Amino acid sequence: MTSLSDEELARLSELAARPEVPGGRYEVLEKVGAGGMGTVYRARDRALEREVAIKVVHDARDPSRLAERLRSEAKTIAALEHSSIPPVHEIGELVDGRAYYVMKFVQGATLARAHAGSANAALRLFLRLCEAVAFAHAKGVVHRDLKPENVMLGPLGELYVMDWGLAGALAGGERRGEPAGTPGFMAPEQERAEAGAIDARADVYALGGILAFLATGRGPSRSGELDLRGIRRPLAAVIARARARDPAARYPSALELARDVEAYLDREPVAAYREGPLERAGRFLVKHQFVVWLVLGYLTLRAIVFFL
Amino acid sequence: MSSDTEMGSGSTSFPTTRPSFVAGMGSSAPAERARAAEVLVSSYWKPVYKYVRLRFRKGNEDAKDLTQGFLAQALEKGWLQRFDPRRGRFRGFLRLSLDGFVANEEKARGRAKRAAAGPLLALDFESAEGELAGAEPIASDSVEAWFDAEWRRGIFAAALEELERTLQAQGHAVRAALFRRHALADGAEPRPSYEALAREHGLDVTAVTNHLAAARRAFRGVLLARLRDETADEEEFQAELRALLGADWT
Repeated sequence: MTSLSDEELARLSELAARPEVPGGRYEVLEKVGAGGMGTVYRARDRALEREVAIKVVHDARDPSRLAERLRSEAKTIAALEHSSIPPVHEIGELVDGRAYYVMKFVQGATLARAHAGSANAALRLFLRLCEAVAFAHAKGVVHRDLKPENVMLGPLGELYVMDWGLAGALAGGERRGEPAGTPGFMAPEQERAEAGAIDARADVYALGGILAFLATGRGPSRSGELDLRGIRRPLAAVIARARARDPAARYPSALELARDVEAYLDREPVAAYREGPLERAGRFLVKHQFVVWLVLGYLTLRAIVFFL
Repeated sequence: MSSDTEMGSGSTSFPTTRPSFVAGMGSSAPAERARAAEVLVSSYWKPVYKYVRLRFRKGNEDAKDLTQGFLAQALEKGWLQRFDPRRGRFRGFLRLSLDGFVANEEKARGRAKRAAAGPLLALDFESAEGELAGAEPIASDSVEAWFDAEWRRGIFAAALEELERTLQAQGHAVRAALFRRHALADGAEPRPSYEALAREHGLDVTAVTNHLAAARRAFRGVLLARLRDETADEEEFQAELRALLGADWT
C-alpha cells in the first residue's frame, strides 16, 4: 500500500481541491478564504490581464442544493450595482461540475482585522456601510449575515459588503424555515427562523453589532450580549435601539440608524437618547468650543484690564 | 468575537443515518458487502495497526494478529453496524471498539482464537512498519488527533490506489504514472516539470497537461465517493471534507 508523507498528503489535498474553470481563461493562483457555502480563490484573468476572485461552491452530498444557493447569490449581487458591492463577472460550472462565479478581486482586509482609524473615522466608515446596506434594501434584498468579517476595506479606503450567500428577498421573508446567520449578529427573529418575519430590520440589528464592534473593539457574544463600557451614553443608546429584540423597537431602516450616528458625530441630539439639561449644555459647549473659548478669552482679558 | 456563519440544522434536511459502507456490511447483496469491506479495510487497517503498535506498545507480530482479528470480527460479526452517528463520528466509535477488542484479547490471550476469526486479509504490514520508524508512543491527550491524521493519510492512500487500479483497467497506465510522478515527491528530487514528464514518456506538453487534468479530476471523484461512503449525512460529509481538503471556513 502507498505510504504518504505529510508533504505528499498536502499536495494531494491541494490537487483534489483546486478548481478548474473550463476554457482556460482563468489561472487559479491561491485560496484566499472560505465561508459557509464556498471557497474563494484569487485568479488571473488571462483575457483581460487582471486579477479576479473565483468563488467555488463546497462539495456536498447533495451538490444541487449548495449550487443553487451559489447561483442565487451571484444573481443577487449582479442585481445590486453599487460601488460598495463587488460586481459579478461570470457564472458557470467547473470541469468537475461544481458551481462557481467570477467576481471583482477585492484587496485589503476585513473590518474585523483592519484598523479603521480613529473612533470618528470608524463611525464615518459605518455611515458608508449603512448606505450600501440601505441601497440593497431599496432593491428589495436583505443581507442577513452582516458582520465585520463580511465587510472589506480596500487600501484606498474603499468599502465593500461581501458574502451575500444568505441574502433573501425583502418581501419574501425567511426563505428556508431554518436559522442561518452568525450567532451574536443574527437578529432574534432570524434565529427563530420565523417565516415572513425577516426584513430590513434584521440587518439593522446586525449593523448595531458592527457599530458596537467599531466603537469598542468588542463585538457581541454568541448570545448577543454587548459590552459597551467606555462609550458615551448617546452612542450606547443608538446601539441599544438598533439591537432591540423587538424589531418594532429598532430603527426602521439602515438610513435612520445612519442618521442618528451622523447626529452623534456632529454633536447633535440623537433620536435614541433623551438627554438632560446638563448633558445638553455639555454637548453645546463641546460642539461650540471654539466660540466658547473665544468668549472666555475675551472675558478674561476684560477682567484683567478691569482689575489693572 | 463570534464570526462563524451557521447554516441551520443539517439534520433538518438530511436525516441522520449510517455511513453507506457501514450499512453495506449488513446488506444481503454480496457486491455491496464486498464494497463495504473494501472501504473499511483500505481506509482503516493502517490506522488500526499503527494505533495498536503505538498506543498499546505491541510488537509487530501481536499487532498484525490484533489488526487481522479486529477487522475480521468487525466484518463477520457486524458490531460496527451498531454505530449511531448521533453519538459521534465513526472513527471515534471504531477506535473505542478497537480499545475494547484489544482489552478483551489481553484478557483472553487468545492467539488461537484470533486466528480462528476468519481468513487473513492481505495487508502490507511492512509499509506500515516503515511509516512507524521513529514514531513515538501516542500520548493519552492526543489519541483522537493522531487517529484523525492517520485516517486522513489512509483515505488519501486508498483513493490514490483505487485511482491507479481504475486507470490501469481503463488502459490509462501512462496517465496513472504521470499523476503519481506529478503528485508525489520522490525523495529529495524536485517535482518534475510538465516538460520533463513529457520527455520521460515521449509525449508533448499538451498531452501531459490533459492527462494530468483528467487524472486530477478522477482522483477527486474517487476521494469524494469514498468520503460519501464513510459519512452518514451532509453535516458529517462537510466536516470531513474540511479536514481532508483543508477548507478553513471563516
